[in-house]
Amino acid sequence: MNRRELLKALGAGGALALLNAPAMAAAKNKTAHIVIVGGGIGGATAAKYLRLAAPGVKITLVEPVKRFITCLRSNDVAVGHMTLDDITFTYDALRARYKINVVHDRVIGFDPDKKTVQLDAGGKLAYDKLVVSPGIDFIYGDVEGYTREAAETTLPHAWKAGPQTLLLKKQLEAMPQGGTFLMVAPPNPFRCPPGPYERASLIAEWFQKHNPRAKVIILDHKDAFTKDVPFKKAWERLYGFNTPNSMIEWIPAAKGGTPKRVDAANRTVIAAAGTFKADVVNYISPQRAGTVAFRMGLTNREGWCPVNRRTFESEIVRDVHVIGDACVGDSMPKSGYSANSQAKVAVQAIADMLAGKTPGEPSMINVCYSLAGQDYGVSIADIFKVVDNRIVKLPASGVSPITDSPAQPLLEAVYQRNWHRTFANDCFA
Amino acid sequence: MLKIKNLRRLLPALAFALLPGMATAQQAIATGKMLGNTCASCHGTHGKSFDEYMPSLAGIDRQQLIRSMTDYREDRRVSVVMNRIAKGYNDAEIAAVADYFSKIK
Ligand SMILES: Cc1cc2nc3c(=O)[nH]c(=O)nc-3n(C[C@H](O)[C@H](O)[C@H](O)COP(=O)(O)OP(=O)(O)OC[C@H]3O[C@@H](n4cnc5c(N)ncnc54)[C@H](O)[C@@H]3O)c2cc1C
Ligand code: HEC
Repeated sequence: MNRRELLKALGAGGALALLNAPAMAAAKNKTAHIVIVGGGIGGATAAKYLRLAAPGVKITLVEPVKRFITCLRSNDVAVGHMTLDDITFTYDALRARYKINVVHDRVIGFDPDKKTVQLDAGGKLAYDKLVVSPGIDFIYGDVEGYTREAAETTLPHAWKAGPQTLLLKKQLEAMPQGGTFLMVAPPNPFRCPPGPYERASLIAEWFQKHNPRAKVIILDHKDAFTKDVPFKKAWERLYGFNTPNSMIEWIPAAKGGTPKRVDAANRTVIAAAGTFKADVVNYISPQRAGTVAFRMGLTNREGWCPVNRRTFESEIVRDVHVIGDACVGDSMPKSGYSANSQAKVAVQAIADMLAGKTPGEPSMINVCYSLAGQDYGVSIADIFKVVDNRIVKLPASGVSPITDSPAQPLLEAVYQRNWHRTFANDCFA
Repeated sequence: MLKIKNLRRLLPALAFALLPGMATAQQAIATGKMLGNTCASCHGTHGKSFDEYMPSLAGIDRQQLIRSMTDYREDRRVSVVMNRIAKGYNDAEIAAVADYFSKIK
């Protein structure tokens, strides 16, 4: 029912009974404007699923890039198994099929009282509900010698897919025979917890073919990592891990792996475990919520956005929902799958709130598929509920079992490749 | 690359030590749509898989979905991921998600 119809009903006198609360809420729902900041995995999913949940609302998606490159499978690009084109998606379907107003711009400011966001090109957008999914940004200067400039030129993190991915690829290809690839794996929490170890695996596999005497060294801020049991098993099976000829050496924090100082010009990282001079240094920086979340005042002291876990509404600003890597996700890893699942919970909450209902019960899944080699997949699959405003991982589920059968990792590798296509379609098409 | 048909034949080879099923007893449950939307990230939006590798769930027979999910959960059916996924759902949730997918055209 729109406003004109409501007024007519009012005029008709007898139809006053129509004006109950849900009808009013529904009328408001029809004209509500939902603005989404960030058209990555979380934001694109939110836009599409909002349209499915609330056909009548107006939806605007603000995203600076016209072609979104997924980080998902970007490790395959770094070793030449895929191209950037294979993992690039447009906003055409969101526009045409889901009637989303996609604005290629950047949000630079915010007025929570007037409920507007400021665009870089000028102009403001007024919202009824705002969804923010800006992903991550990097913390530079955590150790002496590691700067933004070093990251962008000599020590790529390649933790946002695009030019950095290609820079890393080029550096790998230019490595001398028998050279060293050094990775610094970031401290928790960070985007894609299995990502560094997948990358190390695929690079070791690439070396087997193109640079058989080369080595992979991982300096780690941590003593454990996700799926470390199946990963290490795979490394034993594929790369001689735990033998004198291992192609991969993993140095955890307890063995002095935490970096202390960086000499970017000499591609050297100094840690308690020693001074590591390498031919390629992939320094994966410590991370925080995307910069715009700070500008908008949505972050806590740790640099992430606290939210009501049942709705993903910010605990700091009303009517603003933060999803994806930027939010505090408790036991939920910062992954594309999580961002997609969180978007669907936020959408349910927003649709219910606009309809004047209490937000429904949330349920979420995260699955991280990784490749330990081209034909060797390992995965972690978990279901999440919200208990006492915390996202809780259910006790069952978990990581790939280790078996003697080659079928399990082979099937996981096949599923993983196909999953990327299905998943990207669930977000963007 | 191997075709999925051939790979599916490998599934019985996955006979690993199976853990007893652990259904979770929880109070409130999510709607079939909320649950179904989380499956969609693998099975496709609305359970409509466009991809030969992934079974479609849209329009699936209600009883068949319930049977498949409980068989996965109790490790009576061999799988790569579904047995781990299914362990996260109790009977009421499986019934709700079965209602949802079986009604999709
Ligand atoms: C190497 C690697 C491999 C990975 N592999 C997987 C995988 O296999 N599976 C998986 O589930 N996850 C994977 N991930 C993780 C996944 O990429 C992220 O968790 C996911 O992208 C998070 O989604 P998001 O919406 O929070 O952020 P993003 O997808 O990064 O989207 C954020 C968007 O916000 C936009 N933005 C930023 N600032 C502004 C602003 N001011 N105004 C407007 N827009 C703005 C950005 O341009 C960007 O498009 C991987 C990550 C890496 C690095
Ligand atoms: C990580 C991806 C993933 C997620 C998430 C997922 N599935 Fe599956 N599903 C699969 C795969 C892969 C198969 C094929 C069997 C196998 O190897 O595990 C499958 C098979 C199935 C089947 C068997 C279909 C048939 O042809 O017999 C059913 C039913 C099913 N899934 C239901 C669900 C439901 C319901 C959910 C959400 C609660 C879900 N799945 C979530 C990947 C997934």
